[in-house]
Amino acid sequence: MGKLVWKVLLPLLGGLCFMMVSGCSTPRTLVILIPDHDGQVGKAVVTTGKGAVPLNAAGQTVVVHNRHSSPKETTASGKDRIDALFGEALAGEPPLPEKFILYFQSGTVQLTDESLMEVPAIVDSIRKRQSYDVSINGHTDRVGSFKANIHLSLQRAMHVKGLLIDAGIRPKYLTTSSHGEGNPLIKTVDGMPELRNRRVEVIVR
Amino acid sequence: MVVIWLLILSSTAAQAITEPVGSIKTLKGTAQITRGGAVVKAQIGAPIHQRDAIETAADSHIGIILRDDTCLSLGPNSRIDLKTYIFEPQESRYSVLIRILKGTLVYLSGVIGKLSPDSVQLETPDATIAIRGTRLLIQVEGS
Repeated sequence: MGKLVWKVLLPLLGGLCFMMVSGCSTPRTLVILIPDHDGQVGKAVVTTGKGAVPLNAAGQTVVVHNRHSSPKETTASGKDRIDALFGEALAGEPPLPEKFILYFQSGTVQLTDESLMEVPAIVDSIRKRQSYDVSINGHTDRVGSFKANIHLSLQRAMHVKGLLIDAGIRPKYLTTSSHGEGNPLIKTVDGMPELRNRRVEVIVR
Repeated sequence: MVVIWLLILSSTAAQAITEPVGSIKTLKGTAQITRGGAVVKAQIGAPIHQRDAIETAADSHIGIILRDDTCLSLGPNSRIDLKTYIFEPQESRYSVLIRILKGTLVYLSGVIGKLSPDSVQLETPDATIAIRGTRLLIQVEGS
């Protein structure tokens, strides 16, 4: 008789526990804001049909039980909770892309001496990271016409691509783009020479 | 003339589909990419495309860097869909929509998050998340 009672009760209890776990205490969506790799903390907003909650502090945590309820802020998450829930995902974070900037003599695809010396460091970075995805983005200053500078910035990017290929990097990993004078590091008036804008940015991912 | 236009249109459309938008940087265990109905086993260095679905098995993780330096890392038993990814800085065209369907994700915003944060949207089955230059942890339970 006692056995029979348990046979009925156990599934009921089990179902109750399950409902408590999946229905109430366990959120369907959990969002935690954490600092960037340089320590800066950004902002985010979690929104459902019923409301929105902003996040702007490290460890701040918001849960959403379903789309018909408003997001709720809960106790901020510390390292232990973050490691328990996200340890594996955090272990898989890719290393941040590395960026190199090479500078050019005015109106040419001729690298400055300092920048030419930096090319081996780019090759090292590509090899060390086993990068299959390198962007080579050409830029100019505002000497010369807008159109001529689109062309010159492409030539600069192609020149750097050639140097990397000469060093043994496979061409299929290298993507070039030309920005002309439209994306300066230093804003200047038209016609102004500016070394810091005559550049190729190499991003190794 | 019409034929030429059609050719141009179809080639740009094809390019939009076939051009990779990122690549796989880290991998532990097993992960797979579903692309246009076909399933591909994930490998380090393999390309990621717009509309890819990325899925991990138990005890696995995968790390991806997209063209604008957005970093995504999935924990075990996780799935995301890269619904939209447009990064065309020359035309100032940006659009990112990532759906997190289950499991855990570390999201780190990239250039688009700085230049045009309103163009970035993360979605779970129950919520949407807007970002302002951010590293976020997102977990979706069940289903």
